[in-house]
Amino acid sequence: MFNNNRVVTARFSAIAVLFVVSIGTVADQSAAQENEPEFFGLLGCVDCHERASLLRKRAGVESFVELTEAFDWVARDRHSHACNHIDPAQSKLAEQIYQRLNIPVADWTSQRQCLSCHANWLPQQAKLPPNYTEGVGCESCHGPSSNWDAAHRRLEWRTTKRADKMKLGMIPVRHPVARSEQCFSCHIGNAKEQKVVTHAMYAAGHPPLPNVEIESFVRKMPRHWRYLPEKGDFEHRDEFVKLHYGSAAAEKDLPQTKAVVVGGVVALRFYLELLGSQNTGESQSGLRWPELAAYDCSGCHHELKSPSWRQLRSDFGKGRPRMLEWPVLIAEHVSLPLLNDKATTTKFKSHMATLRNLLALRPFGPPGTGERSLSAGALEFADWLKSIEQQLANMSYSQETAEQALANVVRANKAELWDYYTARQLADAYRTIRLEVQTGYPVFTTEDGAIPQAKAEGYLKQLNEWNCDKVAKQSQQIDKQLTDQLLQEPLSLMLLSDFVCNKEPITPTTENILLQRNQMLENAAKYDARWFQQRFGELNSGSTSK
Amino acid sequence: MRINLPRTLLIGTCLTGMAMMMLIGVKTDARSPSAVAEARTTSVNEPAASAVPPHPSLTMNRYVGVGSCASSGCHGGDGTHGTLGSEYSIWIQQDPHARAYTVLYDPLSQQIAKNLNLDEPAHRATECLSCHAVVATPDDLTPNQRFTVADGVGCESCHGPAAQWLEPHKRDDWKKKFTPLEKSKKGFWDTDDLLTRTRICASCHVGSPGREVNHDFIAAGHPPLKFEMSSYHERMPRHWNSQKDRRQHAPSLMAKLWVVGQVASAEMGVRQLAKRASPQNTIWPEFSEYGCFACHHDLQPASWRQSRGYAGRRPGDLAWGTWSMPMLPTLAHATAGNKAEQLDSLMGEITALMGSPYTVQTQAVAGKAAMAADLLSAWAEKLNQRRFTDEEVRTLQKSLVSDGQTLCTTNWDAAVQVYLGLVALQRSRIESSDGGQSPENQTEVADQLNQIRRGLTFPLLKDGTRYNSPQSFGPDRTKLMQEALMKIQSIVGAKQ
Repeated sequence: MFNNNRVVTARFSAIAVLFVVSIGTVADQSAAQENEPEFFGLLGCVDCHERASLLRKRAGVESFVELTEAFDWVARDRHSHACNHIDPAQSKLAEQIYQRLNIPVADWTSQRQCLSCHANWLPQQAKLPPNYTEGVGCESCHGPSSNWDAAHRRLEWRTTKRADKMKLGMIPVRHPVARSEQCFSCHIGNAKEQKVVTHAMYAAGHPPLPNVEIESFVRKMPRHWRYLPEKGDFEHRDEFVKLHYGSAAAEKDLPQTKAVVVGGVVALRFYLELLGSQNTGESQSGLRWPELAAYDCSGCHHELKSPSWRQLRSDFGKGRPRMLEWPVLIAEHVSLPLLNDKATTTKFKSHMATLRNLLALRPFGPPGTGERSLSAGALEFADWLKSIEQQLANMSYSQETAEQALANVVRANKAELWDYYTARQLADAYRTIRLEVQTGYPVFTTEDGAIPQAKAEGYLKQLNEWNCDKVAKQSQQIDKQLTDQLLQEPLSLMLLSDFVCNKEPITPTTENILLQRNQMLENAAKYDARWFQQRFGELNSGSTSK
Repeated sequence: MRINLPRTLLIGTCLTGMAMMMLIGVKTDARSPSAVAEARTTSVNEPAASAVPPHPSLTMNRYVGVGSCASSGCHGGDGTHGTLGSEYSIWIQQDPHARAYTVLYDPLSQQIAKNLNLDEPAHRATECLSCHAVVATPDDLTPNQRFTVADGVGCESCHGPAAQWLEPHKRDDWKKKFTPLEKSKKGFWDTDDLLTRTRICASCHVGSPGREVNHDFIAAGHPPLKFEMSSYHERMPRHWNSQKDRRQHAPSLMAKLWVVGQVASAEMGVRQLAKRASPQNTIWPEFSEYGCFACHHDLQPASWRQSRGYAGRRPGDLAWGTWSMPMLPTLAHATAGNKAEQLDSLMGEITALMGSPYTVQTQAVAGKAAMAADLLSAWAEKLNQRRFTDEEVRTLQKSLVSDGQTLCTTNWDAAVQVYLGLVALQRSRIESSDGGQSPENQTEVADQLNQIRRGLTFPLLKDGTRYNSPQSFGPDRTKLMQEALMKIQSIVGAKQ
């Protein structure tokens, strides 16, 4: 299954590197490393990251990192099964999809369009990575490790700048923008990396990609990381925080609220980039125009009824395919208002108006890449959003900010929530932020600001309790409230509510995924905007956002 | 520049006139009706700018309004259906066409106009009036004529602008003195001819230049157009002598209406496609060209569409022509002769081009659609000259019952067309000299057709309303339809 020789070679080279450049900074190494980063695969990680071992104690990283990441991932994380779902020997659905798309089933390992997301086969790699059966592994999110594997074992890695790590191919997933980008690359799409679920693939049976509220998705993952306050004390802490979390003040940030707010904007940017990468053939990397999957599914896919609320809505789109609405919601109504800047709001609105006008001009918007094309409109907007993301990432997220964000979510309920995924996006964001606002977040400082090692161990214990009991309890309460209000007929809005600290291994068979898909599609078909908005409104009038 | 609709309708009618000429072997003179129509359109568009004097026909074919027909001594009598002299009365009392204009005041019409951002309310907008009234603009009226758009789709909408023929038409010798061609030159359209009749209906109910219900209209609230000649014809309160109609097209009026209707509607459809695919039209792809329910369905958990497959389309491609095209292969097999293959491959090419808007070259679509329209037109004219014998109708019925068992699984549109065709053919059989099947078998066929009809009805929702879509017309319901078709087949016989 794994390429052992490769790993052994990697080990040797790593050791060699350690010997050769035992003095000097990591940045110097990056200059020496001119090779394209390569993927090593899981075996490169398991030795250290599989079990908390003696190594952990010896290395003094106890409070910094769990060192059980690879184990968590293999045993419990669905990403490790990603490739199984496209293996025709393991998934009937996969076999059917190949057949319907007229792809010889035996050729499945040459399908970049599938393997780019399900096994991490990126355009810069000519050949399918040998460890492809690992699915979405460590390096899918953390970056190909050939150039940083050795360096990241050393203490200096903590004080290495983000930019230098990126040069070596590591992806700084602690940064909310980078983390969102990694997730959205598959969960929304990324034409440059050929990670796009096309309409043909959907029609052949690929489950639809739902809305992504980043933190709700992340919360569903078996957590193999610690948020900053949970890390306790460790060497070079201050510098580490400053370098990797934006500023020293990030220590006090409420990380989940921050992720929702920043991720909301990144989601919109990713969607716009996808929309804008459709072209009429002049560029190789883009999608062929029009790619129906880049538009709102429910815009076309709904049973017909006349008279219908669709014909009564204020932004009636003249029978044109519509853009996805869910990526707009958080960005427009939750994130942007936090900047509290009129000029920015105006600019955002003008970008949105341009985009909507282009989409109303003709079906799918004007093709091509010219000045008045949909592509140009979408990409300009996307570019502009990058600066907004940075501003939001550099803000501090105090309890007050989180309360403000929650109030914004509640207010967003007054926007037009015409489709199920937009409503779900709202509910997901609400749940995430309210959870954090209500539970608060323990702050780990002593009077002099330092965190002594002895106490850190105590914190760890406390944190375990906090994670699994307190939060779970709070979470259950909020869920119950949401459930009572929103999970009834006819809506059955499905929330990502089942576990925060669920240690039970899951069985991510294709069948299980299809069950979830079926539930989601049924709910989407039953969705009634007015009903949802009324109930959501009631939910908040009864409780305080604080 | 906008082309006015009654004028363009005139072109269509003149084309029909030409067809008639070919039919009865009259030599076309230099001032053929189509040449007249062309001259008229051009000069009307730029009368002041060009020094060309208006063509005589400009003053000829104008409208006079239903008031000129309504006198009780003429067509305003009070007889029953089909009685000579009661045509106007039946129309005004029973025919929905008479309310075509007033419906434009309905809240739905007003909302459609609002959604479309029309410059004027529905009852004044040319886009609406072009089909909902006899004339769209005052230019089309005879000067000083007291007559109003409020008449809706009146006598002259189908019988032709009467300024030129009103007088001779009142005389006793009208019927004997003029040939249909001479009448049509005066603007009196030969509705006795089934092809002309179909084209007149289809000019609104399918669409023609200037008369168009596109996806913008449908999304705004306008019902989609799903025209089928024989059933629409049946539904219309008859103001003509249907016995005479039957005699004239004996032994198989209904069958011929269905056959000619199918081919002529398809022709009008592809002609419109050719126009829509012109580079000037930026509303492309035009979604109303496609099957409504191919896209418009809730996404299904266990999708029978995916298990069923996509009938020659790539998954995710758009489904073109699901309403107007599915009967053509069956009909071609039975009647088209040597052009059937050419037409078939042309239709296949258009379907492929239209199926994938990624690669659609509008020019190629327009060219192929125009070619297909010409083939269909020639075919329709050929069919129109024929009478269908009892034997031929029986053969058609057998073909449709057999082909229908496959066709009904492709989509709801095709299934409905199978049903409507079977109804028309069975009607024709019953009216034929041999009386169709035995009484018991006729009852059985009728029962099975009713069964099929129930299966095609849009399902009832919990709140008592219905979707305007077939929702779950999947394997369960198509299986029932297939069973009913097999029972009919056991009575009428299988295709050979």
